[in-house]
Amino acid sequence: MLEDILSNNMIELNIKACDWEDAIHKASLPLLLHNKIEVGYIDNMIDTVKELGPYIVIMPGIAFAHGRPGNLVKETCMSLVTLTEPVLFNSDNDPVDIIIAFGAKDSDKHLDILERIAMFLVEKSNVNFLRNACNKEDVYQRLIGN
Amino acid sequence: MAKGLKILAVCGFGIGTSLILRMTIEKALKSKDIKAEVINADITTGPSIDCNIVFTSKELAPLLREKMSAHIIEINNFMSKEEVLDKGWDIINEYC
Repeated sequence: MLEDILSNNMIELNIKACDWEDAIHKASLPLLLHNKIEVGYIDNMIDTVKELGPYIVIMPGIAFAHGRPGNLVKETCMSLVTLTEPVLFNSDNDPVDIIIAFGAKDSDKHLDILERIAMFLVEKSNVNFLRNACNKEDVYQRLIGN
Repeated sequence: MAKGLKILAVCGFGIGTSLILRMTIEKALKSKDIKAEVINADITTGPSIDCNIVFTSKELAPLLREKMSAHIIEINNFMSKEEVLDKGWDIINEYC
């Protein structure tokens, strides 16, 4: 359930990142600090973009960082980070100022979580809200209320 | 009606972004009352799947074009039903 995966300690707002790799690092920190992923998973997420290109920037301004499911992910997890200054992924959907970092333990038990996030992000008012938000609890309530 | 139309959404690992694209495709088809099988896969298993149309990102399209005879359609915004219909409509109708 989204409520379990995306608690408000998985949300960080108005973070500074100097480039896309730094942005993925910063977005992954909540997952690492709360022991949801191994540190190697962060490299995995970055290598994905280096090998396959910035396909993770799946809509204007928003990147869905993720790597291969497997034992670098301890439990299915998701974080959401907004940036003070957007970064470039060399994608047509640049610049990016919202990063969601995502880890799946298994291949497909998290469909409902992704669906909830997708439904949330498809509404421009929600995306604008995220961009301007300063309070994690407000963001969390808005996400789960959706 | 679409007889046996099979559509594939492809991304890097098949656990995240292709699921989202698959959902968008399913919603787009439903809005036009088109029936089709929609599945998702990653870039390694996708090419071996027999299907009619593939939706994917610009970055992954060239690799898929090399390996598959299906129509490959590039989508920029994986949340946009409008883009899926805009770019896919003509080809989808070939199968209807």
